[in-house]
Amino acid sequence: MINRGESLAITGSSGSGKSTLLTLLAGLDTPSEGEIWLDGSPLHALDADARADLRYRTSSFIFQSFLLLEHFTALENVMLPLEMKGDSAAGQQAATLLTQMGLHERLHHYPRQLSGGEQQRVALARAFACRAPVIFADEPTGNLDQRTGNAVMDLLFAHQQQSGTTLILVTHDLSLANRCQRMLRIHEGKVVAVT
Amino acid sequence: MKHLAMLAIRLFWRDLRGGELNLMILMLCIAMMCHGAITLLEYRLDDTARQQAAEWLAADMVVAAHHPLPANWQQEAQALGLETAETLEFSSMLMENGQMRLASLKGVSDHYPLRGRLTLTSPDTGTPIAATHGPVPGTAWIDEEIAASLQLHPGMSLGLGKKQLAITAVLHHEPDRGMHWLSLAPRVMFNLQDIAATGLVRTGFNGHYQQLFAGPDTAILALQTQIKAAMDDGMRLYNRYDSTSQEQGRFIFQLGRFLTGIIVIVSLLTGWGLAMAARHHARRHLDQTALLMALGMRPRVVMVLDGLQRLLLLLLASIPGNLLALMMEQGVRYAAGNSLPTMVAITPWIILPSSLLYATVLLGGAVAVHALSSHALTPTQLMQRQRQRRPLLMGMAAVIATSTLAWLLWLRLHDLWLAVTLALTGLVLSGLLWALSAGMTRLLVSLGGYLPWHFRLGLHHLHRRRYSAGLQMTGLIMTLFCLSITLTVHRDLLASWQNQLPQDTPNYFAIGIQPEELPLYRQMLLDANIIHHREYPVLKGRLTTIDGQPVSRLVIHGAQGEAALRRELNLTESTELPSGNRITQGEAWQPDTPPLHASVEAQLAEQLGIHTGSTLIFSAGGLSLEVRVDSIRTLHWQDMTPNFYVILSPGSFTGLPVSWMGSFYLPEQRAGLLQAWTSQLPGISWLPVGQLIDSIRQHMTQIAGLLSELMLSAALASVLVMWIALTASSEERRREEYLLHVMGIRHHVLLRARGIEYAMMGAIAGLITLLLLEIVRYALLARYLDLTYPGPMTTLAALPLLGAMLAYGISRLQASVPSTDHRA
Repeated sequence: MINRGESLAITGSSGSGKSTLLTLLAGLDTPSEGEIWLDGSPLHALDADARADLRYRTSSFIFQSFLLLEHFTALENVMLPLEMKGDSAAGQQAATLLTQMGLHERLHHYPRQLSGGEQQRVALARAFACRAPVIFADEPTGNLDQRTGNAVMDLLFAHQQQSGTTLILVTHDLSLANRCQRMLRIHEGKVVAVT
Repeated sequence: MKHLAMLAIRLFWRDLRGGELNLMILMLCIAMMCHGAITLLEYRLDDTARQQAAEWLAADMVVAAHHPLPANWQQEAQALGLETAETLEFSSMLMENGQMRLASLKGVSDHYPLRGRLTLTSPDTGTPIAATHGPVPGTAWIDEEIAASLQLHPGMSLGLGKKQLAITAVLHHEPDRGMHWLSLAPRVMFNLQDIAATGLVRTGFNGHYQQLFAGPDTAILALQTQIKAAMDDGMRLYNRYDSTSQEQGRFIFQLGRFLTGIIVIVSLLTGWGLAMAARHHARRHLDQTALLMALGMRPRVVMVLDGLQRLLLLLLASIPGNLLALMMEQGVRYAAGNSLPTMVAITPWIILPSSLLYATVLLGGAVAVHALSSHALTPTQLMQRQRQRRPLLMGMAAVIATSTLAWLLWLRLHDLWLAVTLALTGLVLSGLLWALSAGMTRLLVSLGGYLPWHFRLGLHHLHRRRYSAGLQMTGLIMTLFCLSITLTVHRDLLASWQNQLPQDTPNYFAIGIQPEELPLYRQMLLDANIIHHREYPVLKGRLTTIDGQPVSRLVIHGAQGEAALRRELNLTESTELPSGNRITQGEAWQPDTPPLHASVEAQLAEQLGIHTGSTLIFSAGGLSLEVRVDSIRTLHWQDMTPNFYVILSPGSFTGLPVSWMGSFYLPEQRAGLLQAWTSQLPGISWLPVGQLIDSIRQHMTQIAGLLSELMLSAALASVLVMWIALTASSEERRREEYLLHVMGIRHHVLLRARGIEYAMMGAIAGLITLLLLEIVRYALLARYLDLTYPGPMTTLAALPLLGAMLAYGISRLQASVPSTDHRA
């Protein structure tokens, strides 16, 4: 059970099943057995449409590979979830978010023109733009150096505390995991420790 | 929905801006350009054929009878806004200057002809000049034969019954004369207002009355309904929609089939190219689909969003696509020269609905596999590039490709079963080609162990990608195949047409040669060194009974059959069949074949239900001729040599009053000979058919021009598809090459290996194409286009080399091995 507003780190060695667990929790994949409840809904029992609706209402996701669309500018990547909701001020809000991330001079740059840290900050801004009560983050600093990774995580935790968002992240970086309120350690697909 | 539409527009714009849609737009433009241009040509051709049919009738609709027609039909037609005219045709003996001549007299009203033109022979130059209307009251026009045989010329007068008419011109051509061109007597044309004064119309008068109508289609159809309701059994109605002549029909038929063939080929090519481009686009957009789903968009909504974007793509491509189609069609017509006087003007935008429908089907088929397969996966599966199981994907692709192709074929052929059969055949053939390509690749790889390093590297790449390479090679085979078949059939088609109408094709028919005149006729032609063809004895006979059934009780299906029963047929007897006749049922006559055996033309036989073994009875020369049908044969009326519906075995005419028919080629500059011959043999009718031949040759010139231009479009589509086929896997290949480069393999070795891989694919594709080509070429020429198969083309042996060179060339044109940036 993960409570609203909590932060949880899922740790474990490579191949232990951390990312698989995270995608199952976020409803991006379907479990072959077991139950997952998200915001009072039985995620495991929902069809693809209902799972999509639940994701739309409750969660956003930060991918290890950033998953920025390469033919979209940074601004357009952040605007996407807002445009999906039909937000008429999508551009303005996305620009504000990117400015808060320190990317006010990079709004119209394409992902290939950004550094790894900048790309991850764009991905963060996109996740924040969803204004979802739960953020799932899969190795958000996995492709970044330590300094850049720390800066990105500072932004993530600051947002989580300010907005009261639930944060579930996957990492094998213990220092990063220690910044979360709770930690769940898995090994070969099984939970071996919860702290 | 509004949000979704706005989102679709934004996503589409971003895709467009990023160049993601370039390949698909290019293929759609090519598809719409080729389809639109050819469709427009077909529309024009159709309208032209109708116009020609109208000229053949001198009107849009004609009602004819051997008794006067109701006068109120003319008034009803005028009330509907139609133009009207009347004619009355009959035979009469004319006597002038001590000479007698049987003539065909034709009284025409003031507005005759409503379609087509009358031409007169200029008294000064002897060349044809157009006349805007027929002769005015009190005057007559005579043709050259009447002028020569009765020693008349303009300025003299001609007695027609009780009326003297002033001869004002020599008639050169009348548009509807071709309707009865083999039974023509020399012509005198006069104004119908003079008919009463001639006193020729009295009890027992046997004339052919016609009312002519022309105007808008709707009014013609409305009048046709009224007239048909009031017609009696002795009346006949002809209209330009279903009135065709054998002489004009075959070229239009062949051209129509060829155009349909080109559309099918272009559809196959562009459909395949579009499917490859869509696959390339879909693979690059898996992340976008995954992200949208991860952000909470329902899979079905993602599909709708994709559909809206494809719709925008379609609309965007339709603008340049249709403009290019118009330009191409104009270009094709321009290239065909100024010899297109009969091509009618039509609104070019008439192609828009069919063009959009065509492109929608094509695009729908191309994107459907990826749309259906990707939206059935979870976002994680999409991000991990997982795909549906291969058999499922292949099954989906097969069903969608077959349905798309069948639909496209159905739109063209209007025959669902034929379309489905052809599409299924195409599918099976594609599968075989794919298997053959993969098998040959495997064989090549197994034989390549002793080759140099870069050869082995190229073969290794080919082998590792053998499934997708098989797909690419299938595309290459289709490309090479379509290009080769289009070019070779184009060549065969033109050669066949040219052979049908050589330069010395007869331009005059001599009709009514009496047996005693035959030696003099032959001698005259021989003395003048005129190329002439064999003469045939002709006996006019009316078919009265088929297999014991009086023809009056038969139900006839077809215009030829009806016409054959209405009038007397020209029968001939001959040991050999005229050139170009081909027996399709039964056997040719042997030297000992007895008299009264018959060979019947295939289409007439079909319409009258005649088969080998049938017994026919003709009423001819006051006797009944009972003949047994030995063979059914096809022939080409367009050859412009004497041809007959019914040919009898030698000896059948013994004791019967026959005349003879001959044909010869008289060069234009020697046309003066005709006058001398006419005075020597005044009883013979000299029928000029040069104008008809010129018209057919003009068709050939037009068609040659049209086809050459269309070849260009097919070739353009082929090369583009080949490019797309070979670049479809370029991204993956570039990544691999980058890795190999990082591992120390030199740049030029990688480039050479890529070149070898491409060249091998091209060579295998060329080899398989070569195997296929002759089989299909034979089937197309002999079965589909009704032409003679001229034998294998040795030049096609170069196809494997051509395929290898083309593919190698494309590999050299592609981007070089990336050395620093492999993210793009």
